[in-house]
Amino acid sequence: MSDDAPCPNDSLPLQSKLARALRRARELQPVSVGSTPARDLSHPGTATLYRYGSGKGIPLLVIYSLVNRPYILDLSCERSVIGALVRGGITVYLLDWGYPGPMDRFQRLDDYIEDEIDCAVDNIATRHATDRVSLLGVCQGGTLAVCYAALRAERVRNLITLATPVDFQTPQDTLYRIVRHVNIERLAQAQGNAPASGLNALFTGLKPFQLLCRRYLTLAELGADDQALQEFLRLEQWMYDSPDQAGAAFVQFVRDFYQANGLVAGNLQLCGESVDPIRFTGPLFNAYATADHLVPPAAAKALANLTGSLAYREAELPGGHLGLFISQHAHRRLYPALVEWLHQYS
Amino acid sequence: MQQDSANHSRPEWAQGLLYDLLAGQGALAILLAAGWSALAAFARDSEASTILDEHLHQALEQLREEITRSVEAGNFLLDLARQLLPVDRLAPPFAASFAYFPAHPYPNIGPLQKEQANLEALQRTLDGYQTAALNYTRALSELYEAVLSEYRQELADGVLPESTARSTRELYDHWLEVAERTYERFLHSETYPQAISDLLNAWADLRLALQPVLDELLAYLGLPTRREVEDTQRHLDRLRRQQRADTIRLQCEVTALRNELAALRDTILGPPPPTSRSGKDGRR
Repeated sequence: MSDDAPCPNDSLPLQSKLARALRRARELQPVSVGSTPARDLSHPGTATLYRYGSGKGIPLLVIYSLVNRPYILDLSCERSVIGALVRGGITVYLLDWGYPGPMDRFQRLDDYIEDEIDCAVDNIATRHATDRVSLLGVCQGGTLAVCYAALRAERVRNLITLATPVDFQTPQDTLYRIVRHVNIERLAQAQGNAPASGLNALFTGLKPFQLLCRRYLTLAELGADDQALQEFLRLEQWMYDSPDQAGAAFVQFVRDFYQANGLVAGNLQLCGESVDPIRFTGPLFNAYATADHLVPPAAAKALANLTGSLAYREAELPGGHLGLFISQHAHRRLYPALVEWLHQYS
Repeated sequence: MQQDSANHSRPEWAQGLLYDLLAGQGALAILLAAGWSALAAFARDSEASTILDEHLHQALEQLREEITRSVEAGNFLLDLARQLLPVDRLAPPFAASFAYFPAHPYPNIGPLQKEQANLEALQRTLDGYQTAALNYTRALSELYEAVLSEYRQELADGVLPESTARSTRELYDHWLEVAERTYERFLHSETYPQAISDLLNAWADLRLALQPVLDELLAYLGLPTRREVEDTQRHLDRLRRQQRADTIRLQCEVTALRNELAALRDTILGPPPPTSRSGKDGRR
């Protein structure tokens, strides 16, 4: 073997470290997720409404995406968005959409807005003796929150959007490039609910080298650190703990938001009304990540031109989509700023 | 021979029919694994690309076999359903006896003409699905070739410094970097996303064309059909909406009655005296 050939044994230490990490990871499973104590409240819809915190703080309703499970916001004590908000004196309410089943196939986005979000806002407003409630929308949940704030502006005190797409046709939007030619009605007719496995394939297909390979190679470096391994396993569990999507709502989202770009085009209709984000004039905090491959910065920043908010604030964070919720940087900078902002405007 | 092959693949037909984006992900995973296998073979830079070449072509071959299996599965169902059609069973004896009996396709006549039309639609969508699947495989082939060619070029150009090029892990990281960069370019092209969309659309068409055939078989076996399940889903959805509307209406009525009662009480007894607020506000 000449000098420029790879050393025959140089991959063996890596293999050995990887094997050790895999063995240890197996021993550490199952891992717990959700670190902040929550109380299950009575809610008439199909979702579950949770309350975190004493019930005496500033009320904030979190609207999470329909695509994944919301416990990414409370993955562990060290990386809990919900924990950070509660410690900041916020009473956090979270709508957990659960796992739609075959009998939810005809559930529409209108139903999520009218029967779930609106009921939750009513419930929280009554509990806190107020007319208006602050909303925090995450990713697709942020899009729903923007829509709700446009439809029921008088019920929303402050609006916070994290990694929220509003312009679905920006040049860097790979998801749009893939779905724009799909006959989504026909696909849903054939499939019923959109299966989680298909969505997982779609999402991993956007970054297959990162998600199916590099990510697992990093395990080799974590073998001796149980806490880091547990964090890895928690995230791993979350990534593929995906609910199916109610067929009708899924069609609406792909057709009206991605294919028609309804919020930007100004032709979006929900709950029998036109959805115009300019109707919400209250304070708005819009945060996004610079290297987000699911929601490119431009897709989130477009909200600045659509909203009627008289107190619009933007926060740009380095990193990817998930970094916005779990990175140290976000927990050091973003969430303290968010808490302060909420106190200022509540 | 074709029939035998379809019969052998029967246990796998359900899996074969799911060939779609998921299988595409499998193909991408093979692309990743191929890189690792080649580099773990402790090859020289120049040998690494040859080994990669072999692995990638094997991967493509696997993918083609998977597509063939899935199409055979469709053909198997088509053949099975065709057994139910008298025109297909009666036509060959006629054809043998009459010199001018028409070859396929027969016209849709007789009591099962709707079923025959369904089968023809299924055949058409099966063809469309096969075309879309092969186009997608072609797009993946182009991706493989592009990654390999770029990787070879960078090795030849000495993009990696000598000091790091000797580490297998570094070579692999470099392979991933090249693959990721090329893949991004493909994702942002016109043709690759179009190939994915076409495959999804063709898959939906195939599944919808299969449904009446499968429903007939299910009905024959006395099992619930997809159509019956959908009717139940729709019915339940209507009931839920009705229940929500009734609940809202009732809540409004109760609120109106409470207000009316309070007004009556005020008229008869006068307004209630103001009460001092206690420590507990009584709310849950």
